[in-house]
Amino acid sequence: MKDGFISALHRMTDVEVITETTRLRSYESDGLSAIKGLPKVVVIPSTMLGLQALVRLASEWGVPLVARGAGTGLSGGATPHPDGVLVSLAKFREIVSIDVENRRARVQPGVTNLAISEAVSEHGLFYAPDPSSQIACTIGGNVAENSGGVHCVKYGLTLHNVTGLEVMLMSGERISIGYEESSSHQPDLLALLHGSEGMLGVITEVEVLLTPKPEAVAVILAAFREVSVAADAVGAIFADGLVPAGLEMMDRLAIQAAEAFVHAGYPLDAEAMLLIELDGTMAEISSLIDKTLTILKRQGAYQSNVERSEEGRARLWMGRKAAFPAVGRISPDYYCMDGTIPRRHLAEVLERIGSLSEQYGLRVANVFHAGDGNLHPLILFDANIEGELERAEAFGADILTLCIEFGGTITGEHGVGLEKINQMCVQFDDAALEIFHGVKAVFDEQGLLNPGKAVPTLSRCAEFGAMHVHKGKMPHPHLERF
Amino acid sequence: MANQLDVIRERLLSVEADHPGWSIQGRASKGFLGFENPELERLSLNHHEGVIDYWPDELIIRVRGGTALSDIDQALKANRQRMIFDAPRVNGQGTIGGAVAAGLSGPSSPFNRQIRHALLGLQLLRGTGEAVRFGGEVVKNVAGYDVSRLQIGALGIFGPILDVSMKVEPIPEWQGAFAMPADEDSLRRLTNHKHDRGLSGAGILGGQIVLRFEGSGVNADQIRPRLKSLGYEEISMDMFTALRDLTFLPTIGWRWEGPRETPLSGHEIAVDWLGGLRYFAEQADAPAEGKHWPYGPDARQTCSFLNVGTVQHGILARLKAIFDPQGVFNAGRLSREF
Repeated sequence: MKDGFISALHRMTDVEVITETTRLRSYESDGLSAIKGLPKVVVIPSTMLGLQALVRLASEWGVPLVARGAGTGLSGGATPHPDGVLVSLAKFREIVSIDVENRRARVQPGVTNLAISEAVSEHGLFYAPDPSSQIACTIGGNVAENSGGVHCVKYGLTLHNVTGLEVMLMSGERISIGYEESSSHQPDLLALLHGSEGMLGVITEVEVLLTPKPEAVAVILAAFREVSVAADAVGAIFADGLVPAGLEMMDRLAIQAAEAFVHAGYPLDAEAMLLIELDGTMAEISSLIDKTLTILKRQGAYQSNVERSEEGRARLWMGRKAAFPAVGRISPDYYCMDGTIPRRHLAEVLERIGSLSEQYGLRVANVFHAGDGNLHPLILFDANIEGELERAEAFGADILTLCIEFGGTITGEHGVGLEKINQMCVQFDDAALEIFHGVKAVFDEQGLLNPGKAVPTLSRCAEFGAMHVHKGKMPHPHLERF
Repeated sequence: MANQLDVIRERLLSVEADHPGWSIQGRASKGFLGFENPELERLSLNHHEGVIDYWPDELIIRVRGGTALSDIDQALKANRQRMIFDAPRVNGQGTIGGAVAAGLSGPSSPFNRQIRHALLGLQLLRGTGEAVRFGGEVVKNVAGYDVSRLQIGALGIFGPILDVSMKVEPIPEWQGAFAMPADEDSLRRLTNHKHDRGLSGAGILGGQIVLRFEGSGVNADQIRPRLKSLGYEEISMDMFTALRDLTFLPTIGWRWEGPRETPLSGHEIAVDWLGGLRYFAEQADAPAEGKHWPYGPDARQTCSFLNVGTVQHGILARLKAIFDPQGVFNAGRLSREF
């Protein structure tokens, strides 16, 4: 970082500047703590003018800028840049307006996901995307990662529930995108900014769509003797024309860990279970339940429990929601993956993950959004044992490659960040990566916003390709390798 | 089924350096959108058609860009499924590539059923003849920038869409359309329904307020008597087909989008989106507040089509240069400047 930059920061108003190492430590990683590094400086603006002045200063000095919400991301997207500023948007916590009539709310980027639903609950509304970190994660981060959650199988991702954005470009200009009924007749920039991992602009305001709470909700727990049978039941539910509000799957290890932790009443003799949430009008819910139970019976569920009361539903969900910390109780460390595959391959991919588990000598617990084919294998390891972290990372990389092999993607909702940047070389060819770099340069010519994340350089891919030759095919063959 | 990629590519690469560029065309049904640059040569994707993959259990289909919307309807209907959005079939025509490029999702738009809810991935042809794939065939996918959805509404300025993967949905158990005569209070009557559960279309056409509902059979039993008590009669779906397919296109000169509560001027040829979308013969008849797009043959040749601020205009111009550095596709169509 150039001399004088931090002094210039200290002269700014409307910002808090942190340079003490002890305080900087709080920002050394996001939710992916395996990747960490101290930022040179953390700046916390308290006004948009303060943020704008900071962005302009960084641009003028050519200093990298990493935006951070609550730091709950799981891919290292908010890992600090060693020579850059980490800008925390934590003070932008205002719900600017709630328009009940048109079911919209405008919020600042630091508002937590759950706070939106809580603020509109009295009007019978909620904000549908519900990542598991919703109590802490911020809407700005949700946009940056295009976050999903349990209910996006029916209600969509962040992208489908955001109607407008205000974005600060690296030039310091603020632009409004969306805010209308539709984006007819202009390229969908609103979509382009979703999931762009803080690489194109800093989100300064979000207009979200509010959804009416369903009249009636039911949760079904279905237990299976075989993982593959449970996986096939997932496809059968959709094939019969049902679209559940949520459809989650847990395997034996995850069930047992969760049950031991929170006593949700999960079947300990099951190899796999599904949690299926159905919602609709009072008039239709019974028929939805009956149809689903018929499918589950036909597909080989040996036990199906229906919970319609709020208390009963909360109990069933409690185990699923506690599954990650529950797994944390049975292993010193775990590594959460996030690939997505077409649902029809669930059984086969889970079997292959089981084989990889044996090959690497590391246990894996599967607890995931089966309705979307979004896998979250939790690889169990002990970082204190030499080489186990590296083995877990290699196992994780193989799972992601497996997802691509089966027509899926390396990340369903956690983002690429730093964690999966090498796997981007497997999923995309040079032409696509070049376009991604071009898109980045359109918004951020100097490459200062969150540099080094999400999109690998072609030379990095060439080096990675040299290490990972798949079926004898050398990726990015035209590039020189040193 | 026909994969015409080699034919299209050969045509693209066979021209001289001073070639004026290409005007991308499917079934020639969206000619009313944007500036028509008479110097460009037509590049037809009409025969690059067919369903490539369809997994009914996944609710996902992949089709070539030139596939007729009607052919997709037919393939989906066999499995009691449908496209999520109401893509217009102007004069009964339209391809999926054109639907994405036009960005029109029809009456279903305000009800979370837009192209952006359906599109999962696509393949784009570049001026060099290189085909580049973005997105994929899974609903949750956050790897790389969402370049696929950037094509929605781009009118092909970034290149021809070779194929499209999209999410589809089960046809609801029940669909019903209802109408009552429009009067001075039509806008209020229309917007009174905006929070009705199951509403999937609402507009004014041919002197009638028209509503569309869908859902399960049990919901139908509740909705029908309630609408009847309000003076609505159940009608066929024809009115919604007309709103979707813009059957009144020859009579309109301007499209208007704006706040749905904006008072009606009385000159509306058709109203959709609960009042948020209106069609007029003359621009002067449309409310001043909101956005205007020229649809008439004269207006679109003389008035600007792209309706964004200066900064966004600059971003789009630079994006065009990334995807199509030689500027060979649909030059001027969206903005006269690129």
